[in-house]
Amino acid sequence: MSDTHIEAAELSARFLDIHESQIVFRLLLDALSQPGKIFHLPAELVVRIPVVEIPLLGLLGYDTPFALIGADTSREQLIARATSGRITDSTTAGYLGVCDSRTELLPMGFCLGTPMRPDTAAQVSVQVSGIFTAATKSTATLHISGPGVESVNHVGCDGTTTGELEFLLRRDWTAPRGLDMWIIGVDGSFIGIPRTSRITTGPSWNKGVS
Amino acid sequence: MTLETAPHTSPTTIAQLVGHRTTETFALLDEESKREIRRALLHAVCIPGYQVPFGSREMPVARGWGSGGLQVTLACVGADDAVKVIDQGDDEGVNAVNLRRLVTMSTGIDETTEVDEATLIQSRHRIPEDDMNENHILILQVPVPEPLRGIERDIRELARMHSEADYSRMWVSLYEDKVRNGVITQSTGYPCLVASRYIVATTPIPRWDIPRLHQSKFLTLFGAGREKRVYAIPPYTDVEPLTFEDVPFEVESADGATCRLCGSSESFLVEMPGKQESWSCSDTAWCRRQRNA
Amino acid sequence: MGYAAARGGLNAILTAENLVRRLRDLDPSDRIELDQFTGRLRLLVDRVMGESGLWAPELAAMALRQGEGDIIEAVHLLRAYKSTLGRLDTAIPVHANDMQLVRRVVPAFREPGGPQILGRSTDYTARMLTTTDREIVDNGASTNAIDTALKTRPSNSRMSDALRDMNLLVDRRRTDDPEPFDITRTPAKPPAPRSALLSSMARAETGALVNQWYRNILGPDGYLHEVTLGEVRHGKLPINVRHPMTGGSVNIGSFRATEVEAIEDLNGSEEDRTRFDVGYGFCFGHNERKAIAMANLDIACYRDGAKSGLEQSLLMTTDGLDSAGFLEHLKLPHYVTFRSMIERKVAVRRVAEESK
Repeated sequence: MSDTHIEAAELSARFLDIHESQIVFRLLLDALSQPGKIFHLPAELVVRIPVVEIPLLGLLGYDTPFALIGADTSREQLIARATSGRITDSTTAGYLGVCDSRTELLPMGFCLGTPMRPDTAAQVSVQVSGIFTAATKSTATLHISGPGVESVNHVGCDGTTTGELEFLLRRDWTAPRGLDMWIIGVDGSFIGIPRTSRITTGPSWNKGVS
Repeated sequence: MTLETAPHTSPTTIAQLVGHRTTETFALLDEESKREIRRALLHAVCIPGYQVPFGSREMPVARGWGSGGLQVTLACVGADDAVKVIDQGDDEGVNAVNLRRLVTMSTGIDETTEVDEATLIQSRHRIPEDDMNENHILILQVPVPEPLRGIERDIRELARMHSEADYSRMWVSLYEDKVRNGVITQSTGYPCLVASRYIVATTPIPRWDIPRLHQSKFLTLFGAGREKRVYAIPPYTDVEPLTFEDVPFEVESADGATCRLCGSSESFLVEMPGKQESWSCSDTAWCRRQRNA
Repeated sequence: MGYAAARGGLNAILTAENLVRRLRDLDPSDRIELDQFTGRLRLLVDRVMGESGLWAPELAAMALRQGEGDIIEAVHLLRAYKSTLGRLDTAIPVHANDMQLVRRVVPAFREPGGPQILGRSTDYTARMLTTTDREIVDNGASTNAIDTALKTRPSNSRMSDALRDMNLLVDRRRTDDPEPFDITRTPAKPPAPRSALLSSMARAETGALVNQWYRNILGPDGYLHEVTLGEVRHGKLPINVRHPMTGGSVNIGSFRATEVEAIEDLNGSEEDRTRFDVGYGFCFGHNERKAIAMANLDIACYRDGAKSGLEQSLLMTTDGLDSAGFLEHLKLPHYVTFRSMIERKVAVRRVAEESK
């Protein structure tokens, strides 16, 4: 198949129609307003699009600055064409997809906003190799509290090494600056972590998660 | 219609690629506008109480009449939602009816007066008496989003005060109010501190409704169309009305009055002027359920 | 009667809509055709387009007809309609010198370079109401002069350039080319770039700008004095877009605009008092008082340097829909708030009585 042929099919797959984008938005909104509760991206989208790109494809609009870190630039081009978003670098992007969560850029290397304009901080979609599972206090990988959480949400992440989630412990900003994130497993299960969440680790942290 | 039942309408030909975004309309606004509002809402939820500027579009309702609340609802609404719209607690208020039909006519979704059937509740100046939870989004219409408006008019100074959490002059003005009048005279729209960081304008909801925002089970979104800002209070977030240690926060008292229709004193009551025993529940759907129970 | 407490809110709305439609559309007089608006009430149509920020004469005529002549109502209809339209492209910037003039006056000089065209203006007509039905008056003007006046002319010189050549103009020209601020996508508030101020004023309500100007001349906030006008122009400008395949410029239409350059006398202690400065006004259609007010307010705002609230007033209080909408929202039910206010009054009185 020629390059144009492959590209057309890959481009077409990345268009979210108006109902798909609405459904994705509501899930992303729920996830950030209930940090640590596990949500699932629609299966129809997960089978046709790399999961890390789904939030970008659902949210980006004309000229929205974005970047995809850790993937071939051709994928960035596809996202730009599907959404009219503008490819930019990691420090000025408003929305980012991070394919490998072990990148040093996470979490302090992106735009964290300013005290005057905290809403200019980046919102980041991070892919991990495992899948999220509901957990109890004793089995949890992460303990999440703060706005949106009644007391503590316990989250397990099967199949992900703790190294992949290490970046969550390096969050070091002064409110109201900070990074907001969706962390997405390969099956489309995901959690939202707004900048205000407090995160501690659970008993299985040092042993790695399997 | 869910994703499973809806046909996949992504474009598969060049012609469809070109015409993709401009063909189908749902919920009045074009897709670009909706996405812009959605991005603003996502930031709002992550910075509780901070007023996020957004490119507010002109709506079929006038500025000051709910254009912001409507934009938030239209950006959120999906085919499976059911919407309740109230004004002063009344589903039948003419402006509520107008807003509700704009939503349903442009989406085809169900409308309801019952909180437990609704998923999106757009309201002007009341929080419904019924309990809401994580299946609800409360969308409040905001006439004036700036809680510090009474003490400062300069926009640049207001931005500085919020960015530095310098709210000292607000406290001083409340103190002076108490000293001058014997009570804090703020009626509705009581200023509150959200997540210990931003003071917000709670919109002209009565003090009666303020405690419902604190550690709520539901998400509250605020839409100010004219002033072009949105803000949010996530569930389980601290919302503290500004007051002093020795001055407890007071909700409205009706001096023991009860609703002449359902007999309750457990809801926010409104009166007919000058008539005795004329009180009734402002939340008409709640009142009707008490009567039918 | 509490209209919010009335049952059947939907019935009330439908009745009101029906009344409006019936009394408007079934009035015994002839229905107004759209070309009667664009042909015989052109200044009204131009004003509505200017305040909507939408160049669409036929749609503006429809909006005026539907709104029964209420300008704010027509502007609301147009702007709300615009909200349903996707944005296709951004036009290629056009230079103001590309304007094909139908009118140009230069008060600053008796014989400026380039044409002075009185053109189609009521400025020097006698304001005497014609109560008879005569349409065309033969007042002795030569047909030659009239034909000449109807032709458009290119504009090839402007006063600001002439003043610059005379070394009488402060040079505030930029060397960079920043993206203009888009007020339809981002709300503008102080401190804002000049493009935000200019586009806000271009779309502002005409009366609001005239009032801002006048109260700053004569009112309690008197911060500015009258400028000398360097250019008052009305004419046509092209709309060009980039062809998606060839990348070349394609003309897809034109629009009319009014353009004003106002010459400001610099007399401040920290200003260059050997030179003048320039303010700029621009709006859709033929609306001279708006563009003149805008030009004077533009330079006033620059000279003000954020010392007063002028920038905030201009950016945030001159939009017709915002101001009229918020004013008229007072008609909405406010009985929950009022109940709460009564309760506070009783509370204050109670405390006062208890302390006696």
